[in-house]
Amino acid sequence: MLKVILRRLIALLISLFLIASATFFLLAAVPGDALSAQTDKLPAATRKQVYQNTGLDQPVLKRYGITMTNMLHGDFGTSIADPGMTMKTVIEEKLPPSARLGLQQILFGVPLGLLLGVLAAVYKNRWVDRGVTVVSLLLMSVPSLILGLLLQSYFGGKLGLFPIIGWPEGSDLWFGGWAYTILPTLAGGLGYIASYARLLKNSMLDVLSSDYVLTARTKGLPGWRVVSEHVIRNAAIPIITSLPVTVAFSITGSVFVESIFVIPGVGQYFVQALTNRDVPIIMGETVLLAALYIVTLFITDLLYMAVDPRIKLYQS
Amino acid sequence: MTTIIEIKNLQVTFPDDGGPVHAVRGVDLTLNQGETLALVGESGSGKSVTTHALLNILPKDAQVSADKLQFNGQDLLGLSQRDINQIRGSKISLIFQDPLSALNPTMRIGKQIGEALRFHAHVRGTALKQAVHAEIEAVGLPDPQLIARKYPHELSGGQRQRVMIAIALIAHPQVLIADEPTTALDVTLQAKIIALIKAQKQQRDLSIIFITHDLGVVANIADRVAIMYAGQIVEVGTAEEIFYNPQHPYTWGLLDSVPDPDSQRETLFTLPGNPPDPHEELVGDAFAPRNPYALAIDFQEEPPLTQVSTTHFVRSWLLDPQAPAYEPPASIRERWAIYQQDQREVPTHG
Repeated sequence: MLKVILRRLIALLISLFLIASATFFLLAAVPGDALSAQTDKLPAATRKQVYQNTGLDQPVLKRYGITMTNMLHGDFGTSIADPGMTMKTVIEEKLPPSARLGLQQILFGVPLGLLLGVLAAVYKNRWVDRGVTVVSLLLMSVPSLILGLLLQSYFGGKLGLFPIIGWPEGSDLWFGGWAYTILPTLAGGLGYIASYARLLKNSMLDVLSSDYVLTARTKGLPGWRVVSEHVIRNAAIPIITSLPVTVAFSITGSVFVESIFVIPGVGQYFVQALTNRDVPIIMGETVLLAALYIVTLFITDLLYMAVDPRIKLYQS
Repeated sequence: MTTIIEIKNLQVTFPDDGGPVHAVRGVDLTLNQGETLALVGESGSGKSVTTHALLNILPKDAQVSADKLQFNGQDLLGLSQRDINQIRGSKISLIFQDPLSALNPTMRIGKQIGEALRFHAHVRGTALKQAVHAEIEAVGLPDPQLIARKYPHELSGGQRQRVMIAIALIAHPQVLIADEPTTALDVTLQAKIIALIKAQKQQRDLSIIFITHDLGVVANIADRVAIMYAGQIVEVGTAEEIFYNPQHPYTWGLLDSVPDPDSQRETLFTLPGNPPDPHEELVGDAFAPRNPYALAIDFQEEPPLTQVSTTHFVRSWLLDPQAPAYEPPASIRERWAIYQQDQREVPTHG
C-alpha cells in the first residue's frame, strides 16, 4: 500500500511539472502580457521601469526558471494585475463563496438525481422513467451557462422573485442571504440531477438484469431483500466512484455560473486572471486544480477498492 | 411413481417491437419423484423459459398461460409473490450455465451459500456458518472456512459451479433444475460436475430437470429425455427409447450431431437451416422446412402426438398410419437394430 502511495506521489509530481511547464509556455507564446494594456501609453522609460519591477523584461527561459524554482518552495508569486493578491489570499477570499455554491449544488442535485434514478429504474418504461429520461436529456444538453441566463431572466427578471446577481458576504458568507444563492444553485445543481439520475438508472438496470440477481430471486428472497443485499452495493459502484470528482470540482468554483451571477469565487477570478494574462494566478490555480484532480482520482481508486473486491491496486 | 411436477399446455409469449415472441407453444411435461429428466434442444427452443415459468422468474412482461402448472399438486400459476418465494430455493432450486455471472461479485461465497437457509429455515449465526461449511464440503470443495471467505472471482470455473450447486441444495429442495450447468466448463470438469450432481441426487433423493443442448451429456445422467423444438416437445421417452428407438427426424439430427470417435465419417453432421423466427405464427410442423422427411401435410397441419410406448411419445406425421414408407439414415437404423435386439433379449413392460 505504501508503495502504491509513493508511486502515485511521484506520478503526481511529474504530472504537475508537465502541466505547469505547458501552461507557462502557452501563456508566454501568446502575444501581449499582463502589463501591455496598462503601460501602452506610458513613456518608454517608465514602461521599462514597470517591466523591470515585475521581472517581465527577462527572457522567457529565465522567467521559467525563476517561476519553477519559486513554485518548488510553494511560492506562486504575487498577482500582476491585482496587486497584493497571492494564491494564499485567493484561497482565503475566493474559495468560500465557491465552496458554498458547490456544496449547495451537490446537496440539492445529487440526492434528487439518485432518487429519480432509482424510480426510473424500478418503473422502467412507465411514465416516471420516460419523464426522467426526457428531462435529464434536456438538462444535460443545456449548458449551465444558458440555464443560468434563462433562470435569471424568468425568476429574477420576469417574476422578480430572486436577485439576479450577487452573493452573500460578511456574516452571511456561509449561512444567510439564501435568496441570492437559489438561482446559482439551480443553474449548476439541475445538471447534477440529470447526470446522477442517468448514471444510477443505468447501473441499476444493469444490476437488475444480471444473472446474480436472478440467482438471488431463485433462492426465494423477497424483493426488498434482493435489492438491499444484492442490488444496492453493486449499483452504487459507479456513483461512489464519480462523487469525489464531482465534489472536488464543484467546490473549487464553476467558471460559467460564477461569471453570469457575478459571484466573487475562484471560477470567476480564474477567468479574470486569464483575460488579464495574470501569470502567477493562472499558474497557481492550474497547478492547484491539477493536483486536486490527481489526488481525487487516487481517492476514487481507494473507494473502488473498498466497494468492489475484484479491484486491487496492489498485489498482496 | 409419484408425479412431482406436472405441466400441461404451457404457453409463454413475450411482447417485442417486432410483434409477440412465442417462446413456448404448448409444452406438456411431467417430472416424477426421483428421476432425472433431460430437456434437450437448440438455443431458443424454449427449454429455459419453460423452467423459468415454473418458478415465475420470467421477465415481468411475459405472458404465461397453462392448463396445468403444478408442483406436488399445488398450482404454481397465480401464486402470490410470498407463496412462490416459499417454493423457490426451498422446494425447487436452479443452477445456471455461467457460474461467474450467476454469483454476486461483491458478496463473499459463504454468505451467498447461506442466504437460502437463512431465509427459509431462519438459521443464524454459528449454526448457519456450520451448515454453509458442511455444504461446501458436500459439493467437494476443500477447506470450507477459506472458500467461504472468498469472492467469486477468486475461484476457478469448476469451483464456482460447485458453489452454485451448494447454493441450490443448502435449503434441501426436492427438485433441482440444472440449466446447462456444464456448458461453460471444459470437458474434464463437465464429467466431474455431472458426477457430483448424480451423487447429490442419490444422497438427497432429488428429482432433476437437466437442461442441455448436448445429447452426449444426457446419456450419462438422464432417466427420461424430452426433445424440444421451437417451443414444443417433439419427442419424449426413456433415455433408451430416445437413444435407440428415436422416431422424430429432429431427434435423428440431434443424435447424428453428437461427435462419435468410432464414426467412419470425416465431417460432423450438422442440421441444415435455422429454427423458425419465434415472431411468426407457425403453420403446420415447425420443423418441416429443415426436415428432409417432411410430408406435404407437414406444411399445413400441426402433427398430433403419437404414442409409441407407454413412455414414448412423438409429434410427427411420419407415425401416422397413412404416412408413406420412409427409411431413416443408416446411423439411426443401426440404433434401431440394437434396440430391437435388446427388446428380444429383455422383455419390457412385462
